[in-house]
Amino acid sequence: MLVDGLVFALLGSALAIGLAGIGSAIGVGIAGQAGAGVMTEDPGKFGQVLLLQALPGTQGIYGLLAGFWVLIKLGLFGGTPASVTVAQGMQIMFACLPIAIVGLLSGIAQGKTAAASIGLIARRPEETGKAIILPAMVETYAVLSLLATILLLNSIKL
Amino acid sequence: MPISRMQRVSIIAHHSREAEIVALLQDLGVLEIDVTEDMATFAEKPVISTEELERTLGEIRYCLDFLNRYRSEKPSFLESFLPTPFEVSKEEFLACNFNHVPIYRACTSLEEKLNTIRTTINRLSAHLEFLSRFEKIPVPLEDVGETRFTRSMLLEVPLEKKNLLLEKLNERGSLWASFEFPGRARNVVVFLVIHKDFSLTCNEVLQELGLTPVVFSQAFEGTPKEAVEKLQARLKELAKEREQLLKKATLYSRFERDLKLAHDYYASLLERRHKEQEIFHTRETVVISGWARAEDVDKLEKSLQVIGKEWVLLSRDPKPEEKVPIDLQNGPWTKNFEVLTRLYGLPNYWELDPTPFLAPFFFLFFGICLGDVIYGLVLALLGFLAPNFLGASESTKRFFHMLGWGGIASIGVGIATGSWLGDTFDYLPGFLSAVTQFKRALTLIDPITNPLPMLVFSLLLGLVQVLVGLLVSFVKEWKRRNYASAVMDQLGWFAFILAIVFYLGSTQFSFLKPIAMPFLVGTALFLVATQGRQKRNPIMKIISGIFSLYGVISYLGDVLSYSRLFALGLSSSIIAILARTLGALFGSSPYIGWLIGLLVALLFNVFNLVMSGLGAFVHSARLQYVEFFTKFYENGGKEFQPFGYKTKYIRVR
Repeated sequence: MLVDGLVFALLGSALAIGLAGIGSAIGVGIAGQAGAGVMTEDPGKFGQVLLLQALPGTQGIYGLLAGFWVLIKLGLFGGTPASVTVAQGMQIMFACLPIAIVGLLSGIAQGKTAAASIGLIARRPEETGKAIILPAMVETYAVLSLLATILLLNSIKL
Repeated sequence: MPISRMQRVSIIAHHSREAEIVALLQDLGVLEIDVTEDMATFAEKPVISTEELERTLGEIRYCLDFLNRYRSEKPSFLESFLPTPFEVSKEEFLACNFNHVPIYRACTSLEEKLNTIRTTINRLSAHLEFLSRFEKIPVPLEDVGETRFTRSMLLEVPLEKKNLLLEKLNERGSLWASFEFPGRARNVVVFLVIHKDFSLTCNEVLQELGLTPVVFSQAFEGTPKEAVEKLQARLKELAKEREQLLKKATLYSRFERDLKLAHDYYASLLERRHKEQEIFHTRETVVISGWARAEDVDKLEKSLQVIGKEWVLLSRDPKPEEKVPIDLQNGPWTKNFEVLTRLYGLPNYWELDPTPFLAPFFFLFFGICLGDVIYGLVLALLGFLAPNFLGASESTKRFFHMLGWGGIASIGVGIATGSWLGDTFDYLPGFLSAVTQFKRALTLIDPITNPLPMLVFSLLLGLVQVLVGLLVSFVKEWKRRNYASAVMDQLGWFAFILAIVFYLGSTQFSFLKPIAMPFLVGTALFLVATQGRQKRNPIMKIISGIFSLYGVISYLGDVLSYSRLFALGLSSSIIAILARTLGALFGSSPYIGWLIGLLVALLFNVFNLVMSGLGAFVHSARLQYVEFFTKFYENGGKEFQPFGYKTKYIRVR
């Protein structure tokens, strides 16, 4: 019985880390392509471009965080692993879904916004502040889903 | 007084004094000269030739660019991020008479030579690549061609076509001879010698097989191998020559300082010429008008005394319809946060500066988002010490100081939540257990085991900021004498939100119970009664008043948005714990495991500091812009840019 529940819990952890990571990877990739294009014109914009490219990278971190929280909760790092029933395992898996799904999709959306913002600073470098805020608006929903995942995980009693 | 008071200043002078006055104004750097539209239409603009200056500037820019491209030591990563100007005394700056022409000539001739060498190298390399295909052929290349009776050629034949070629030639005649040599890839090089009578037949065969004799773009001497060696020797020579030229180019970098100084000097001069063109001229006088800080007007008038008597200075307060430039003036602490206002857009002159309002909130929010003692310490050290080493400009310094203050807030929050590199300090070796005890004694609440209080605290902070925003808006409207809007909209909503909080709070605190309900109903009725005041129809008044209560949703959304503070704060702690866990995992392996563990933990922590720091900045700023500013702030001001020395590389002391 112990093994069965653990499988679902680990699947949840893997989904959170994996899907959110994919979202960030695609997002950072999109922004990076736009950034490289801008830098062929003006390599001096490296600092600003890097900043904007890094913005869609946070979803991956949130996913890692959620996945790691699951591992801590399961006691897989040192100490005795908690015994997990199938029901509890599935609860943990579902709790991971908000950041997994929203991380994946918002990472991509944020990457596109970051790419557009990079285009903005190419023409109007003085507007870097505003260019940074636009992708951050997308990230709100990744933060909210992380919040949901954390609160859900916290409410599951092992 | 966060926004400096401005005065409209006009200096009317005899045009004989124009040059002197404009030079003096540039030196003082207190007046932003502009052109009044209605005057500008009458202006008889003198045509001042700026071509000479522009050419000089272009040449100096070229030299600096040249030095930059061929410099021996590349600037460090940090320097390319934050180029630091060097200080120059005013006397030295004004006395600049550096002659850049010899350097310009040297640079252009060097560049020309380097370009020639580069194209030659490219051409020779292409030849080399071509010739190396025939390296195995012992035939001198000058022998490929015609004699009185024969014609010889080189053919690159794919291995599978070679026999076919020989067969076909055999079929047609025997006035030929061939020699085979190994070629590149799956090719064979065939050296074919034919009698001229056989020429036509041979061409037919070649055409059938789709073969063409190799054509050399240039006459080479000796066997291909010899030719290749010759080319290589020549390339080596060229490379050496290039090396020497490059070395010579780097020698000129000792003129860099002079060039930069000259650049800024001429740029300032050009700026002055441009201004002179914009100034309004009549037949006898010039009128220089613009904006100055109120406190600078006296200084300006006094300084002008030096210049004869043929001038007069008039000043007055700005009129409401004028677009007055903005100069923010904040206290020593709040001015570090001005950059946030600037990023969003400066206020209009008649508005208020939001910096003093946002500064404490940003400070606290940044602290909660980063929320770790050690990260905060690193950021504070970086923020307060780095600008001194970099010799950064005033605005960069303030930005760093803002990060430093964010670090200090983060230390405070980290102590309260017990996050010292996450939970790393709980795993210190035995002899440091006192430190662990100390840390634990200071911890007020651990959001990892008990997240709800921290979440509620974040939301409460949001509530406070939203209420402050409404209050600021109320004061603003009141001062503008929009009493109705101030009381009914701003104060009405302020009271209603407060009433909702009281009502929610009454479930926890019984002393609120008797007043909560009447307060809530009263404020709601007030809003219902007032929010429909724009409508004529009394029924519509009531209906739109009731509908206006729906606006509470947007305030609720605003407050919920502050939950990110909690989530981001937790995120940086958890990643720090992850760093500690992974470090311990690697550290438990034998031999140099401890070193790898340490490196892994360090790497993760640095990564976390950078990403969490970025997140803390971006999200704390966003909360100001989206949730706070929308309540009261209108931007649209233009920065006050007094006419002065326009410097890029230097700072005039």
